[in-house]
Amino acid sequence: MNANFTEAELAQRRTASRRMAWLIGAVVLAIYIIGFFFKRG
Amino acid sequence: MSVATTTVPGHAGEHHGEHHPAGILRWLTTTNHKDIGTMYLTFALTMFFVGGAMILAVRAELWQPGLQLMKPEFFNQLIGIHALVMIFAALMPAATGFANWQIPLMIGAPDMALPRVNNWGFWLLPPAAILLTLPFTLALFGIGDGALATGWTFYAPLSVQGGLGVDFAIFAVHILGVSSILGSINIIVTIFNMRAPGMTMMKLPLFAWGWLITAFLLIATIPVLAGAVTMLLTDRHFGTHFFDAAGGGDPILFQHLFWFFGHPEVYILLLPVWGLMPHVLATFSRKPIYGYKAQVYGFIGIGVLSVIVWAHHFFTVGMPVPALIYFMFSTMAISLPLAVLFFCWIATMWKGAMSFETPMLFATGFIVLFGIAGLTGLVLADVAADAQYHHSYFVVAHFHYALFAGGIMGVMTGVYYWLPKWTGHMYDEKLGKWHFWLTVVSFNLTFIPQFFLGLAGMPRRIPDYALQFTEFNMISTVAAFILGLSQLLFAYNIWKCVKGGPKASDKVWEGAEGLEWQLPSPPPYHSWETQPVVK
Repeated sequence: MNANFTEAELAQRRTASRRMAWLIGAVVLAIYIIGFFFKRG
Repeated sequence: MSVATTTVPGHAGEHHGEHHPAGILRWLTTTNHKDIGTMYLTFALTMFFVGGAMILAVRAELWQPGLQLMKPEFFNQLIGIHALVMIFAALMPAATGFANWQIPLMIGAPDMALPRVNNWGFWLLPPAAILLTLPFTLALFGIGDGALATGWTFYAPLSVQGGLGVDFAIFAVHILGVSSILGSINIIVTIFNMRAPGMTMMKLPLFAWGWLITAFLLIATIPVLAGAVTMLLTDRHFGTHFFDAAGGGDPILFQHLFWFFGHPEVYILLLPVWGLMPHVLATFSRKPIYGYKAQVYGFIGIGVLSVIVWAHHFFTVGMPVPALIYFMFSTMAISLPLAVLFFCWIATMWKGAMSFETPMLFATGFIVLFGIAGLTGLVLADVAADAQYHHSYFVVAHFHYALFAGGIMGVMTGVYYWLPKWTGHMYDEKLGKWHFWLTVVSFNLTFIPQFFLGLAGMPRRIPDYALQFTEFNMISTVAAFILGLSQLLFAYNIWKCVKGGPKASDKVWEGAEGLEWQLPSPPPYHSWETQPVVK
């Protein structure tokens, strides 16, 4: 793959980055919240 | 890796923020990765001196037995805040500053993928640092009883019963955690989505690989720390008993939660440095990096192992024997991928045309001294031996070999290596070499005595000690002051380089390889308006 970025591709990559960022953020929040529901054995 | 550059039609001059504001508004509102990297690095250097001043006060108190300069409560506050400042406000922001400056340059991206998030990530840091240190000031006016006095580990039940400083530190850790998460998300998505055409993951510079693993570790562990300190907060103020044995809680649970974060944190601090080292060693050995793939798999292996070994930090708490054995062997297993890294670093230098400019001096010094951290870490990983060394000065010496020699000297390596690229000027080589030798000699004179003190039984976090420990403490204190003062040379050299000096060429170092050296020194405000293609 040796094609250059165009403005459109750059915009598309930034959109993909934002989606991935929200996904990772959701995982972080899930780890934080799930911990409170653990009970001692 | 061969590189071709091609202009992207219509890209130059259209980037947002082309006419960026000047003065303070530039720094408050900037979304430029280089500006934000500079802010991170400046903040880190400032906090390095704040944290250093705190520990010099501690060393002054430890000059001789008895209480000379401060009350034990204030001593405890200084050591706890020293650690939090050095870890969260100096070393981590320095590594993030490197990431901001270098990752877009190294992977051929025009900027970080999420520039506004990048700005937020930085500007959360100063309020958090203020929160950490504010209780010292408030205490002067009779408000509260000073800063966090539990050590940086917040162990319950002490932290459940502690004063106002604990609440400030809990709030600060939450904010620092959010900042780290925002930075990590940005780094992950930038590496995945913004690489130049042709740069596959297995052509990614090792510095970016090191940071990628670091970012995933932060994503996995910071929420656990945040959860633990939130539970601590609710124990303190909202009637829960997560860590209060009297209410059916378990103080040891806090230690598990804290160190699930705390042990990976060591690798979070070190992986960016391990990623940087091969670049420096290859440059000044004038050879390609040895064992690229082995190092990538080494980073991944260390990352995975780092989240399953946490309980070796509290072997003495009383665990079942199978748990002790599991945590001992899993901890020792980390030495295998780490040994692979050491082998690759040494093999990179082997039979190379080496020269010892300041970055190479720091890099080779790092390998020797960080090796001592690794070997003493193996000693501490041994359950039987740890019973003797736990909570002694042996541990203090060990983790300073890891975090000062491994972490901070690694950061200094990176600063000297990349500063000419960032500023367009060469730093003062003679001053750099003075800084290196003063740092290495005084560092060893500070911490080798602490190994002996620990072996002889001197406990850590105590402002007074038995008479037989006096001589080693005096040596350690004098050397610590030389170590601290010699860092002024570092700050002066940076300032001098920023202000001027001989012009740096684009490539800066004869043996340097990689995309970042294709750009002018300093790089233009918007990186890579001419798109590189990696072949």
